[in-house]
Amino acid sequence: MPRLSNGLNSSGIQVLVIAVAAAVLALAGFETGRHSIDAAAIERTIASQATPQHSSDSSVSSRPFAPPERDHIIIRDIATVPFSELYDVLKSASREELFAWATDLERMPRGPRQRAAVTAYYKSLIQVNPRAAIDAVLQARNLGMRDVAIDALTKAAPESIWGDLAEMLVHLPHPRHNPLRENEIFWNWSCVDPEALSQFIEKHPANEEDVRSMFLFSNWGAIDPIAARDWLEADASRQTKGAFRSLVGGWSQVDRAGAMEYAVANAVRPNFDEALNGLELYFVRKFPDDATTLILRLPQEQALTVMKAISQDSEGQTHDVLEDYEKPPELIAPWMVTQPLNLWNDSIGSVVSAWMMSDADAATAWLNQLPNERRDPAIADFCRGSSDEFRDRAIALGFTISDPRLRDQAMGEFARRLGETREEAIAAIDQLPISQEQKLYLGKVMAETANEP
Amino acid sequence: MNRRFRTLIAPGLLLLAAISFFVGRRTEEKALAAKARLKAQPQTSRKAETRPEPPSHRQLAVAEILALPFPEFYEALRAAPGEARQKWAAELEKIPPGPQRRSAVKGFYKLLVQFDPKTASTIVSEITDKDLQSLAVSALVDAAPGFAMRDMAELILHLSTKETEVSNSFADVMKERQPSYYFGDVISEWISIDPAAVARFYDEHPKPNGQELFFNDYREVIIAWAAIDPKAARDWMEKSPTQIEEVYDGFISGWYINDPAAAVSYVLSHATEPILGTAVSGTLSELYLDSKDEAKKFIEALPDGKARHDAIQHAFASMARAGTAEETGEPERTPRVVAEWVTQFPPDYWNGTLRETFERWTEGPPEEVVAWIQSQSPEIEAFLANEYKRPLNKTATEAITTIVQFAEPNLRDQLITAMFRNADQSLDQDKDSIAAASFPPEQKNHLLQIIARVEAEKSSNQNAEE
Repeated sequence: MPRLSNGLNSSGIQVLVIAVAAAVLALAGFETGRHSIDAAAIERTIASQATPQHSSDSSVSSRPFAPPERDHIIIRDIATVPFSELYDVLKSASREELFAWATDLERMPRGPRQRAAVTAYYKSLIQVNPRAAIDAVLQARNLGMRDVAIDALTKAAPESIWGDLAEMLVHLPHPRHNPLRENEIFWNWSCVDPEALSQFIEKHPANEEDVRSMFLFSNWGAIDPIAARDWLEADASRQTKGAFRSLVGGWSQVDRAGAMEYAVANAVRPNFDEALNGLELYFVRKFPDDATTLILRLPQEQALTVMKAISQDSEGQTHDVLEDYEKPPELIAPWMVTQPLNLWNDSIGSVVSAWMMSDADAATAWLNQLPNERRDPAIADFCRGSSDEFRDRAIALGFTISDPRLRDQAMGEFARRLGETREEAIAAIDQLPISQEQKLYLGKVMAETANEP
Repeated sequence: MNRRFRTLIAPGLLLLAAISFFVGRRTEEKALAAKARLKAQPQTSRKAETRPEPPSHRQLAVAEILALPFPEFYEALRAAPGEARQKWAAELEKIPPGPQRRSAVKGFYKLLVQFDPKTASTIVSEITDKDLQSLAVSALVDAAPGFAMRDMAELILHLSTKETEVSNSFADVMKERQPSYYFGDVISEWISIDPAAVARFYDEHPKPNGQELFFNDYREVIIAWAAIDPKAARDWMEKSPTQIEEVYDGFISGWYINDPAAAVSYVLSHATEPILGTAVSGTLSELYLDSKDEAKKFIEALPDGKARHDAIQHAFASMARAGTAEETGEPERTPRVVAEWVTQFPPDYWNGTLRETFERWTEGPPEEVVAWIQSQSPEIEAFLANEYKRPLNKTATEAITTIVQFAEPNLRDQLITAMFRNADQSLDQDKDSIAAASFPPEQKNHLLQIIARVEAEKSSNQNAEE
């Protein structure tokens, strides 16, 4: 039987078929090979390769603290490490690492090295990771070093975290009262966010007048007096002398008219006297016209009290007292005599005495240039309360009072105060370096009883 | 095609398929790996650098950089050239006074000083607004890192020469302190970091702020320096203008930190020399806090009874802290622990040295002190009763009430007499307090008699001294 010839028998066709089959097989094998790969596994492998690589990069950047077994040695030299290096290290460290470093610093040998390291660590950490810095302080066991750390935090803290530091103080185990540091925190906070401080005070009230309120009102009054006033008015327990004084003081720095309105409207309130006195004194020193407006708008009783307050303990320029409490007589006396006579004729003597103390010639020259209607009462009040120290000045000035009735009364009181008893006073007059006629005059006008100066 | 060829074709094709399979697999692996690396790369590099791309300083005003989150603020400031920092500093001056300016100035300079203290100092020294300058100085000094302390000290000296009379109102004192106010703070921090540098600074500036250095200024340097390098500290101390006697105890204190054994040995062999001043008691204080056993050996090794008594007297006068261990966190310093440790020695060593300890102890529950005294042997009890002192926060009447309530009758008069004898203040107020108290008349008389006796005794002692 003849064999069928279907063309496949030709060797050319056979080669072609084999080649096609080979190509198909190669392609199929290639594709099958590609699809046999687990893509997720590859990603995992790459990621796992990447992690050690990152870690080693990190170790390069965190050289000051690595390798880990040497951390405790290197953290102790932190005081000399530049912030740019510290920043990267502190930023990438875990909370646990940050706490571990803090603990290691606590365990350093006592001494300046430890203080320097603790200071440097917390100064940097509070800027990079305030929460961790505060938590590390809260966990601290070494109280001496904790104090150093808190000082560092207080110094370097960003302005936005005063509240967190204040809360930290509340929650410190074994709290150690440090008024200077606490003042620093509350003062700074009151400068930037008084409203938040007011909420803190509501949450942590004090039993008595506390410095936090004074800081708060002093600054809030200068930043937003209306809000400060409303907060103060909302609760009677906040209305202390110091609170009123600080609010009005702060307010007057930015809005004198507003502060004055508030002072006039509240002049008769309990605890408001120091605010009035402080405002009047501030105006006398800096804005005499406002001082006049204020004193004339006050009820008579309050006006007299204020005049007494600013005239008492008046003294010359001194660096021992804060300017707020300075009462320079050379400013106060000239202002006083421009006011209605009844407001100052019983107060000015102590101011003149204070001026005599600092510059007697200037005070005398000032008295002598006044018109008689002011000169007489001013000298009279000075003579009535004059001490032994200015006896000669009082005699010289007193005899020149132009109003005879006022002169008799003032010199009579002056003479009586020369001795404990009338007899002693008469004996003292006899010793004065004045004429016989003047001695007789003093004896004649001498009051029956001595007034309190 | 012959048979043999046909036989080879099938394995050849299989081999080809297998090779293709593995080539395909390898190619896909490479492609996926490349893709995965691409995916992972940005994350890795971001983590490694830990720095976001800083915004260009040209696009930012100072208010904007200050509003940035800290990392970006930090990067912006660090990456900015000097001119940009100057520009931002100038912008700060234009912000009106108030909380915003305060926050901005403090934030800006607290950070700038961290990495560029010289530029920060230069910028601040050129600020013309004195209030602003004062605020900026406080920010620099407060946040300055250790390596910038010399710059800070120089800045303050420079600015101090330009200080003028300014308001000292309460608000101003708190807000705008004169630059010289910060000098002590800077020096104090600098001493801890590099006392040798401070010593050189003192040599260069013997009258910083226009005033002679006080012996304590030298002493602080010597303590810190001796803690690091006792020999160098000693050399400088001997050359410094201060009297060595005044600072020698500071040297010993620093040396103790550096090498306790050497310092202790030195102190013991020179304990009777006046130059050591308070160094003996200072060393005892340190030893007590470090190792009570060593402290005990130290006391026993002192040359004589007087040296032991003096050392205990001064070492423990301020050792006790009022309050319990739980309250203070310092168990070694509770009055009870201090008193118990001191009284383990013969009374000759400590007689008359425990008044301050009792003063702090009696701030707490009063019965505890009385009970402790009564728990001692009669001989020790008599010594301790003589040391009894009441705290400042209690009146004589309150203290007496406690004693009467808790002390055995034979101990009461001893405690009350000691209380008046050891009082720092005049007894006039105590007499008034007793006169006004609700004690029975005979008890009042008895108490007033005790006071009279103590006053007579004190007067007689005073006369004898005169």
